[in-house]
This record gives sequence, structure tokens and C-alpha cells, in this order.
Amino acid sequence: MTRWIVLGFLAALALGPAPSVWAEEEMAKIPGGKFVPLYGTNKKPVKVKAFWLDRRLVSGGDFLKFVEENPSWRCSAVKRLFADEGYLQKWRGDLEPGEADILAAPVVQVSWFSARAYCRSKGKRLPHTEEWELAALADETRPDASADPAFGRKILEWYSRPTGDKGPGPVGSAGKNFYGVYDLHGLVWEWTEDFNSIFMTGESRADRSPDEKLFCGAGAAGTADPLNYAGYMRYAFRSSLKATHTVANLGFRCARDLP
Amino acid sequence: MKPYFLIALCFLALVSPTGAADEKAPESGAAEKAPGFPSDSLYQLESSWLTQDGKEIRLGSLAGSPVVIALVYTSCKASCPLILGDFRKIHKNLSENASRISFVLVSMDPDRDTPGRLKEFEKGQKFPAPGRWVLLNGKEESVRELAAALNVSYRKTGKEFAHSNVITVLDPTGKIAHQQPQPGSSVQKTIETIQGLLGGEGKP
Repeated sequence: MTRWIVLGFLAALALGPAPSVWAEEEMAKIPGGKFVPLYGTNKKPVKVKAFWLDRRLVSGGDFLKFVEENPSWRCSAVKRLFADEGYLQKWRGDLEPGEADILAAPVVQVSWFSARAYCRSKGKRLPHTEEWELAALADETRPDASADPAFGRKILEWYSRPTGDKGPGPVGSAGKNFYGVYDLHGLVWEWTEDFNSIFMTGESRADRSPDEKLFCGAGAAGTADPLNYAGYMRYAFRSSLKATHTVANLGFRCARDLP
Repeated sequence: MKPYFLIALCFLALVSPTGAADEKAPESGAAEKAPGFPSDSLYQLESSWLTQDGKEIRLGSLAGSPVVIALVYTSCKASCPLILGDFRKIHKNLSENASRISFVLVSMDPDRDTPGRLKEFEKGQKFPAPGRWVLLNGKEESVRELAAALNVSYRKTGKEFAHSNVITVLDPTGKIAHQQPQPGSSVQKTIETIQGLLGGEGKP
């Protein structure tokens, strides 16, 4: 009997928050807004239109269902154009993620192409970087906590903690923000549709949009908000990625246009 | 106790047995869609594009000969002319064999660079070896995907684009044979790569 209790408990953990816990619709409406993105050198705010964003990161369990239904995205079948050798590497087999906590945790070691294919299969898309950044300005109580140094410190504190061998904790475990979106900070980094919109061009003489101010020498000093080191790290991280990369603490969630 | 029992059963049913059974099922899907192209070929992309003549194509239709490909936009005044300059240089240096190379320009500005506008651009540019130049218009998401596959970054800033200036050579199967990070200095290496690819095919 004890065995069943333990199994039941494990199952509850593995399946993640049961549907009843997630009774709210699975996406949150993020009202449009303006903010000054980090890469801007002219401090001109960008306008983001209202959009829907998944409340939850895509979990290992979600991704398992996806590869069950889409054989070409299984680890043994995926095309090298779409994912490097690290793709779903921690899984035991194509349809066998392994430990129960892998099902409950955000799926990681997925390439941009595979994340995109997943969202597409749900009639969704990846969020644009500016959409993601807008939603991520919120803390638990405010839509924009960016002016509060404590908010930035908390995020940086997370960035400084290694993920560890066990991988990220379960989806939902890093708390929800003002919009009811979980884990935007505190669990994993996230793919965005246009992660490749910031670039380092080296010596291009014709380049009139010097994003290298984000990266060189004084680092964030040339960016719109020199105090936003957390944002600086996100942009730097994204720009270091290739679409085939699979990273042990990089997952994703999906978004959708308003109807 | 019963609920736990049921949950546990569901859990077991969900994870182990289905997993074991499906794993051995033959994988077919993608392999059928893109026969013959290597796993890392750019021609695995299934997006469809419109040429400057309004013809719908997939990138795979470029297979069979070396391809020089770059992302540009027609109202670009800064670096795109340098990219086009290198394309011309490549053409000039390989003029004997230029009829066996495809020169492909993909617009990162699909809203404004309609096939009609691409056609006008082509006429205005007076490219050598007409017929070997393919100018492509695609959906924004297709452009983003192609850029990702080529490791090209770009961002719209008002009416212009900030973008990397990579020139890529594809072998006849669509695999990346060489990438020239900037127009100018290193075009010779690009030319040599294409020469190598043409040599490998055997002269007519």
C-alpha cells in the first residue's frame, strides 16, 4: 500500500500541476505597451502590440507528447539542420525521458527549430524578443518593476546560480508575475522567435546600428539602460546562440497574436 | 487510497508501455518529405518562396549546382551594394562556369520587396548572366528561419534593417560549403570554394 502512495505521489509530481490547478486558460493576455529596449542607442521606446503568452513553460511531458505525434522531431530522427547532437540528450530514449522530474521540468536541450515546430503544432508561435522582454518587466505585483533595483538583483542572483546536474525545477516553481505568467525569471532561459536579431558584425564599415556597444569594452555602458545588467546578459546570451544549439538551461514557451 | 491507485496506474500507462512500443516504430515523416538531401542540408527547409518572376519554388529546387546566397533588401544603401559587388566579382572570376552557379538574393524585407519590385531591382542592376539570378520573396517567418539556418542576424529598425553581411556558398546538395562573414577582403576564398565545387562535378 505504501508503495502505491509513493507512486501516486510521484505521479502527481510527474504529471505536474494537475489540470484542476491550471484551471485558468493556458495563456495570459499581455496588454501592449512601450519600453526602451536594451539595444537602442537612441532610447527610443518600442511599441509592443497586445499578445497572448503561455502561462507555463513547455514541460518535458508536453514535449514528449509532441515527439510522439511528430516522429521527425524525435532525438534519433531529427535533421542536423534543425538541432545539434545535444538535442534531448538527457532523455533515455526517443520516447523515454527518464526520471519523472524530467516530465515536470521545463523541456531543455531543444533547438530553436524544434521549439518553433512545437509552437506551430499548437497553432501558436514563439514570442518575439520584445514581447518576451515586455512581459518579463513585471514582478509579482507590478507590470513594470524595472526601476526597482531589488528586482534586477533578484534576477541576477538567479543568473549567477548554476542549474546543476539535476536540471531545472518543475514548471511553475519559480512563481507567477503580475500577468499570471509563471517562471519568466528563475528557471530557464527562453528561446524567442527573433533571438537572432541582435548581431555582432565585427568590422562592417557600413553597419549603422552598432549593437557591438552591447558587447565590447565597457559592456553595458553604451546601452539604453546601463543599470540593466540582467537584460544585458539576456541579449548577450541570445546573440551567442545558433538556431541549432541545444542548451541544458534553455527552454521555451509559446505565444499567439490576438485574434 | 483509491485515487492514488488510479493516478499511479495512469502514470504507469502514460510513461512506460507506450514509450517502449512506439520507440521501435519506423520513422518516416521527414525522410519522405525531403528525399535525398543530407540531414544538414539547407534544402531540408520546407518553406515556399516566390521568385522575381512570381514563380513559387522551394529552396530544394536549387539543388544540383553550387549556390551563392545572401540576405539583402532592395532599398538598402549601405552594405547590400557591397554584397552585390562581391556577387559580381564571383561571377566575373568564374565567368566560364557562371552558367553552372545560382546567385540567390533573399529579401529580408518581404512586405516591400514584392516579386514585382524584385523584378524591377533585377532589371535596374543589369546582372550578368541573366537567368542564373534568383531573387526571393517569402513570408517573414520563412525569412527568419532561413536566416537562422544561415546564422544571419537581422532586425528591422524603422525602414531599414540592421543585418549581418554573410555570403554563403552551398554545395549542390544544399550543405553549407563556405561562409564569408563580410563582403570585400575574403571573396577570393569564396571563389576558390566554388571552383572546388565545380571541379568536383567534372567539367562539361
